[in-house]
Amino acid sequence: MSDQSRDPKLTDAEEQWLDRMLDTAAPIEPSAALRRVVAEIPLRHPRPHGAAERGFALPGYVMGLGLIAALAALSVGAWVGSQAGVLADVAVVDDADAGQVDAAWEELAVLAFADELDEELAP
Amino acid sequence: MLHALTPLFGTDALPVVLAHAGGASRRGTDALVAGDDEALMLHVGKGDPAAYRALAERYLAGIVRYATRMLGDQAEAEDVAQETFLRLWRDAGRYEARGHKPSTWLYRVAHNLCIDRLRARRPETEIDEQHGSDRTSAPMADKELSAQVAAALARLPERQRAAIALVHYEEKSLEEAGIVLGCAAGAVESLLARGRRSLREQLAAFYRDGASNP
Repeated sequence: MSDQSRDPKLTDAEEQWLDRMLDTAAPIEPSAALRRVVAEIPLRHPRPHGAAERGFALPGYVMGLGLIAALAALSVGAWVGSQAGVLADVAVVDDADAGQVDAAWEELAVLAFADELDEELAP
Repeated sequence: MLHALTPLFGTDALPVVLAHAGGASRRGTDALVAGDDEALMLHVGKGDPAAYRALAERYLAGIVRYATRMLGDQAEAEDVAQETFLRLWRDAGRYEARGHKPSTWLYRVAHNLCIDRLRARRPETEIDEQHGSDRTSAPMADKELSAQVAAALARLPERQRAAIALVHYEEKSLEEAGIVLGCAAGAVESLLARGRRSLREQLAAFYRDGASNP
């Protein structure tokens, strides 16, 4: 035992006697059942994140991830590009629809107020 | 590797160990098992069962000894040891060295589990409550003497008991014991001094019997 733990108020003889007393403690050993249970912990408790960690251990895994991400970005870009014509058509249809909505609103206003809103709102 | 693991797990566990040994990685595993604790901890964090078993081989007995001395009950101590090694397996990936040894981390986990159990069991019994209650002046057989020493240890406040268990029985440095107990090395030294003085007083009857006892 280290000298630094000694109580200065106990004599050297008392310290040595106390060490001997402490050393009479019965030996404590893990039971066979505990040894077995502890040995089987990896089998009984699979690691939830083990797969990811194994993946990172594979050679080139990080580079592979980067390549997959780049390919995914290119695919999305190509798809958006291929849809550009369709989107333009949709925009034209939307403009046409907007004109129809304005006309319908004016008709409803005439029905509701029995007059032209523009005339009523005029100063 | 199998030869090294047999003392811990016994022949009953060999099929389990064999299932993980793997012929191709055998040499790498042997090197790993011989490695330092930090390297093993890193591999346990990556889910390596061989590294886990190497650490268990090194520290299971010590954790059981420590928990038994803290709790005074080996069955309960084995529950603590099992939980400690389960946490090693599950949480090693979150281990950060910060200058602390993996073994110190294990003892700290075990210590905290012991304290939880002691708190759940009863309020801490101060040494003065039962001071000197089991003294006897009769010479005793070794087994009885050992029981008296264990009883005297059990009567110490838990932090003094922990300090003696770590420094005397587990041969930890004051700094390592301080990490386990969550205090400075100087505080551990003080706990040790008070604990040893209390033991000296509790076991005074044996000292009067003569320095040859034990």
